[in-house]
Amino acid sequence: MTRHPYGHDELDRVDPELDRVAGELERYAAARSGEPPLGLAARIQAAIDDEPERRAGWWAPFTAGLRGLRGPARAVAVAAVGVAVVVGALALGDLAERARQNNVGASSTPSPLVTPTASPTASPTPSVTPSPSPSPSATASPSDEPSVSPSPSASDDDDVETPEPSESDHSGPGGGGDDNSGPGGGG
Amino acid sequence: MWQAAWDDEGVDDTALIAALRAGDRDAFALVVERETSSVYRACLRILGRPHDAEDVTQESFVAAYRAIGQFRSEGSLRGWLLRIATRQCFRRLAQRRPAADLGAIGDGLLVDTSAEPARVAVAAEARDEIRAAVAALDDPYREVVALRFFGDMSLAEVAETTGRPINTVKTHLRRGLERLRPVFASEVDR
Repeated sequence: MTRHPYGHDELDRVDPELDRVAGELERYAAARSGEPPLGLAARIQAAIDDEPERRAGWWAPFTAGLRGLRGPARAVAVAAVGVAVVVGALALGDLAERARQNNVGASSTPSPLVTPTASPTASPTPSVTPSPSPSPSATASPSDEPSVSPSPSASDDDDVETPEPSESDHSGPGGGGDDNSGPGGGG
Repeated sequence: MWQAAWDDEGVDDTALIAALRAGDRDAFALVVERETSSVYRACLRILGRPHDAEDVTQESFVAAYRAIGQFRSEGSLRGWLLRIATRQCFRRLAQRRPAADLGAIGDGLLVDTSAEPARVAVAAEARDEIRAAVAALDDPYREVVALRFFGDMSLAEVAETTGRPINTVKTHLRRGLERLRPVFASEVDR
């Protein structure tokens, strides 16, 4: 009946007294190995059916892969996910930058995506910067020093105030980067 | 599909666990079907009373259903369930009033009707002492002893389920048995 009979080598030492105690426990367990009543499984299932339905979160496929890993492999996987999130965020920022530049070139109205100033307190005046270098610095310090960028061309000055209404709507991608890091860290 | 998977004893739990995490009730129904016996037996050994064992078995499966998202796949599903069940059992024992343990003696009488009542009562008392002694162990020792003997798990399975190194589990088992030694010494004296 016992799936795993006690073996003398389990304790890595010879101790007849402890072996006897283990034997007594095993005997006790064998004497109490009755089968459950027939309806128990159905009763349990009914209780489960009364439970609200579980739904996995959108992050489940990502964390499920990490759960099977242990130790260093898990750490490496978590780090890889973190790097992927950062690289993805940078790539998104780069794409946004390019799109902004294209938009600036085509029509002088700046795209709302361009404005990385997430905080509504930042003055939006110089945010339309058609900076010559396409560095992804837009994500680095979006709100602290907007005056660092070179002054825009005269034609852009007129558009300075137009992006203001849409800023809050499109701060999503920046915030999305933060959201992505959450489950990664949790996993 | 699930039934076929369960019928194969050597099947990896991965797909099933993924389905459980996704909230698949059919998959959980198969877990209930397959593991009710082992969970119930462990509960019966810890609690002593069939009625309590049934209740705690049910509570354990419900708790497992709610917490399936926390299952870390480091041990078997059975080990995880047994760990939940043993904890629930010891919690139930802690809530039990001492006077209520008389019910376990009555249960012993029902089981062995051919023996003399006095001997049956003494045996039931001895079983109570074993249960109480295991329940009184400090936690790491209690858990290892309970999973090893009441849950009928190997030490390797206990190590996997608890996430502890096998040598640590061996040490916990040895210390647990050392603490139980006086109980069984008094059993021999009788």
